[in-house]
Amino acid sequence: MLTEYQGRTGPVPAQELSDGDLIERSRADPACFAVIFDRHADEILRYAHARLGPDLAEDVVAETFLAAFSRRGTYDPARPDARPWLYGIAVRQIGRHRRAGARQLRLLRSVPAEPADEDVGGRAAERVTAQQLRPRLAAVLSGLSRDDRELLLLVAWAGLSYAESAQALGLTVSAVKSRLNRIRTRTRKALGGANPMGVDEGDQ
Amino acid sequence: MDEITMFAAIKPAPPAEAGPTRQRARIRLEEALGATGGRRRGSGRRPAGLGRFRFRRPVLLAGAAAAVAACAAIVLPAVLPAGGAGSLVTAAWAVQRNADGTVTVTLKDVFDLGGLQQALASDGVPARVITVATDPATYTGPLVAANPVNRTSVSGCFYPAAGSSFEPAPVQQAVVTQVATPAGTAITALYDIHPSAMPPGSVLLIQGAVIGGQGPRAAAEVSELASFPAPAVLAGNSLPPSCTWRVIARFPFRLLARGPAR
Repeated sequence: MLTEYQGRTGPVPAQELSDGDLIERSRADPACFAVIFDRHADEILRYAHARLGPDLAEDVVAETFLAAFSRRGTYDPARPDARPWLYGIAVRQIGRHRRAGARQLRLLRSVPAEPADEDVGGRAAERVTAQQLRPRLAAVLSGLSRDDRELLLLVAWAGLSYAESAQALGLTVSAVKSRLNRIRTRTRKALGGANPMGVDEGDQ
Repeated sequence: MDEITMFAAIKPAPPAEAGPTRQRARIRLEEALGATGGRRRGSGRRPAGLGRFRFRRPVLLAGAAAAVAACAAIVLPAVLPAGGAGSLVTAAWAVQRNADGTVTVTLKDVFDLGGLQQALASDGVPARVITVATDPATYTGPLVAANPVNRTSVSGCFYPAAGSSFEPAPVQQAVVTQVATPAGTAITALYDIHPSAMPPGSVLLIQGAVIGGQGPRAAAEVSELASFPAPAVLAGNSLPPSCTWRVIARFPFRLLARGPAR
């Protein structure tokens, strides 16, 4: 029975290791955590920039990865993708800057949006419509509870799936779906009781 | 367009130049990693303050940077870079040279200790690394003799018998220091090696004594939990013909009751 283990493992390129493996290794060799930073810092930075603006984005990224580093002992190495975990920490760090977050929401009515890369499936036209609705959408966003807003933006801005958002916020997937449906209803009502885009896409 | 997607459409534009911001954040992380250089890893404590102006000044920034590079270059663990702190990491073991001259050896899988001997030698630690597969049906050493049951703790370690090939106990204890294994990890054992305490001509012996199981699952569990890597210091570059076993440190083990494969 022992032979099955011979040659089982060997030096593995860091690039080929999952986030879970790297974080586990970082418990003995903290330097390995830098690979996690290199993989995900840009994404967390973009999200922090969108949430708080340029002045605090650097702080949030540094604070997020430092907090993640100090908590790496609690990470489940069986989870290969650390993004939901990192976003969950980032959300808490962003929450420490409430005034800046509120200011960014106010600015949202006028700041330029992320440009559409291309017109895929006629989405460019829909984006234009959404831009026209920007003030009303921003108002809806400001009126949401903090928890609902965090969930909505993880899905809409960070692009997390329902399962990933649930992991990030410590919710169940069914709770995520329920909350998002509530947000949809509220948004639809705020926009006049009908979806101006005309089509509901349902759950992911 | 779903309402949720509408919110995606009003996401603010990304930063025009993210590189410098990311680099500054990375330096902060490296500073924090450097600040933990003298601390036992896996402590779970915060490495540094998290406020904007509360980061510790870099203590081992250069060393941390070297260590980062070493991890990023896991695929090339030929030798440690000369001088300073650094580490080599494989799935089964890790060797880290510390700034104080000690070498930390982490053992996770005694089935695959290949390269460890070379890594230690390249870092100034003459070593013999062997793995001995022992048939549990015939093995009479202290581990099996401890009436194997599920979840028990036994103790045992190499200890020099009089006239044996081992260095005396004070030398052993000066050279090898066991470090508390970080909680929640699969690390089998963690040792600090003090090369400067090794007598001239002596050799560090790391022996993975593998106690087999019965059936694949039993073998897997035994391999992880009852493997027995025991650093010891030999008087010369030869394996001891025999030794006696006495306790100088306690190691947690979980021995499986013998029986059919589960």
